[in-house]
Amino acid sequence: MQTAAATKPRVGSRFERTAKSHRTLWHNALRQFMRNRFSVLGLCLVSFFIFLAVFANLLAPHPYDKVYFDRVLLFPLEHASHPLGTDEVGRDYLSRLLHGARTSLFVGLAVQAIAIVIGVPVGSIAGYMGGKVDFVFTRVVDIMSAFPGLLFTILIISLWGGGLFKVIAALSITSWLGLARLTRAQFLQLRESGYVEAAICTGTPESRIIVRHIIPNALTPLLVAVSFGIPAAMYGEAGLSFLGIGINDPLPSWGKMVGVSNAYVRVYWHLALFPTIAIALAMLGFSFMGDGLRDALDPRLIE
Amino acid sequence: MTRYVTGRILSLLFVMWIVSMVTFAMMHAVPGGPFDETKGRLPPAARENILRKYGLDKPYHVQYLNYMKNALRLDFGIPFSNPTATVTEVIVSRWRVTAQVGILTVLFAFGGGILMGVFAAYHQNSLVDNAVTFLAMLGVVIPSFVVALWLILIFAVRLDLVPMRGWSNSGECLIGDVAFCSDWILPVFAYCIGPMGVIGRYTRASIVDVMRQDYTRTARAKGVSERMLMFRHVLRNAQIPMITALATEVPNLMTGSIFIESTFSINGLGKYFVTSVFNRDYPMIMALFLLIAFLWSLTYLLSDLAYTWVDPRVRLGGAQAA
Repeated sequence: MQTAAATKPRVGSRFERTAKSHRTLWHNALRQFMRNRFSVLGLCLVSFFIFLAVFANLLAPHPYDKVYFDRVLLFPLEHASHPLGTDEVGRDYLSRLLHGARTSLFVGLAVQAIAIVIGVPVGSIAGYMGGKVDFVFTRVVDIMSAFPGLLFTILIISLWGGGLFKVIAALSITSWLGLARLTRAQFLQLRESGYVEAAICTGTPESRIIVRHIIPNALTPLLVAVSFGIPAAMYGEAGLSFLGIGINDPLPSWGKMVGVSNAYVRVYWHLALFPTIAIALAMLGFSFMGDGLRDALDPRLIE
Repeated sequence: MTRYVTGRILSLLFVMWIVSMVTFAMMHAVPGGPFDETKGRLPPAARENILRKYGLDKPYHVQYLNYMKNALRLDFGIPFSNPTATVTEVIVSRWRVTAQVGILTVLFAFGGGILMGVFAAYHQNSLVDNAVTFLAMLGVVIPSFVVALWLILIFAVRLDLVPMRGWSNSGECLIGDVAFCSDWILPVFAYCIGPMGVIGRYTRASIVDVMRQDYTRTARAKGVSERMLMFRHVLRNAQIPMITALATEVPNLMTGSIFIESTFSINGLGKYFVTSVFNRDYPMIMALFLLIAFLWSLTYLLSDLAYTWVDPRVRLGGAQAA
């Protein structure tokens, strides 16, 4: 493919080639993705989850923080207007579950957005510059990886206190490491590739090499990493909230609901059952989708 | 080789030093000291005395230097919240409980995981294989506290077969009467499902890989029995990815899970860490961080060394990429 491109007129053909190869890559990927039943199931679960999160305030029968003092700890279907019952202070459980989806998704997306904004540039710089910059980067990442992640997050939360944005910030401190490392590895690998060498030989400016040749090729592994990073951040939020140091009341969080329900589990089983099922389905959906994306986008697997 | 190991040990020490500095700095950036709670009740002179006793009246760098000087002699000080014992004693007593859960979890996770992996790899694409892959995925993806609550709901609440929480063995002896009571069943199973899935997946993947190799086909062609083939040819070569799994899971399992310990009210290390952070128990936090960071780095080093032992083709040092 490279020799064919080299013999043709330069500028136009290269442009055409990248444009075309992209279309076929995404086309192949889509076909591959749709062929896998699990990834389609994952996509459905994730879409459903996003739908609930986005329209939580329209779908919820009650405000998530409205307390009904005369309806504390109702079982599901015990009262017509609370299909999933009420929690330990008398708030509608269905409404809290729906809004919990929103909290969870918001944390997942925000943490990954921060990870991309920090990790990708840092990793690119380290990978492309090499030498001393890369050495310092590798050391910093090594040291940060030696920190026990969850304990470190707990320490930070104790420093700042809980709350939605503090949880996001605390989870972001460690979440960019993986993306930065991956970006660096991609740059190291692609810098040595034949087409980058060819571009250097034809006198393409560095900035153009990075934007046109390296980043598009590094994109798919990063996309896969992000698709796994979102549920990881949601997992982190659920864990912190489960321990009672994450999202603060009255904002609902599935992890917090599970944590609180632990004390009521012997009698009020519904408090534990619904949020755990919600967490499990969301996690499964995201990882099926991530697996599907990885299989679809990894060019080594496409034969 | 010696040079490589020396280099790795030096970098381990460097990492530990940075970890200690950052943790120390972060702890002291926390607003509120350990004795602020009693500030209202304590006369200023008494408070000063307490601060002086623990060396908290000195400037931060002196405090840090003092701490590190003692830590190098393995004296990690006295926990503020429990002044009658040393930090080391508290950690050891808590760790006994955590280690019991950990050892049982390692046993079940590795036993179950390897069995599952071998079985799934041997009967590829069968119904069993798919079921194992799916179970492994469930175990990896779903948080342990979710699994824990499901197990509680089914086996403790609904069926009433096992106790819901608690850990009767306080850790005087390592395994002790664990075999004779049933309160370990739920925590260990809730804890081991995730790692079991990881190990099952690793095992399956590496065995499938080895079974595709030419030498496996050759062995089969020359008439090696299936059992021999599995143990002599396949499992031996499939060890390396398993060691990766072993190395990364063991320190994790042995230091316990905060989630499992708080779900089942087990007084282990993880649960104690959360309490220490909120009590601003500086010596405890420092010691736990150093301990866990040390264990992590050490296992990574040991697992790298184990590669060379298992697979002589792996050479360390020299042109190492990362």
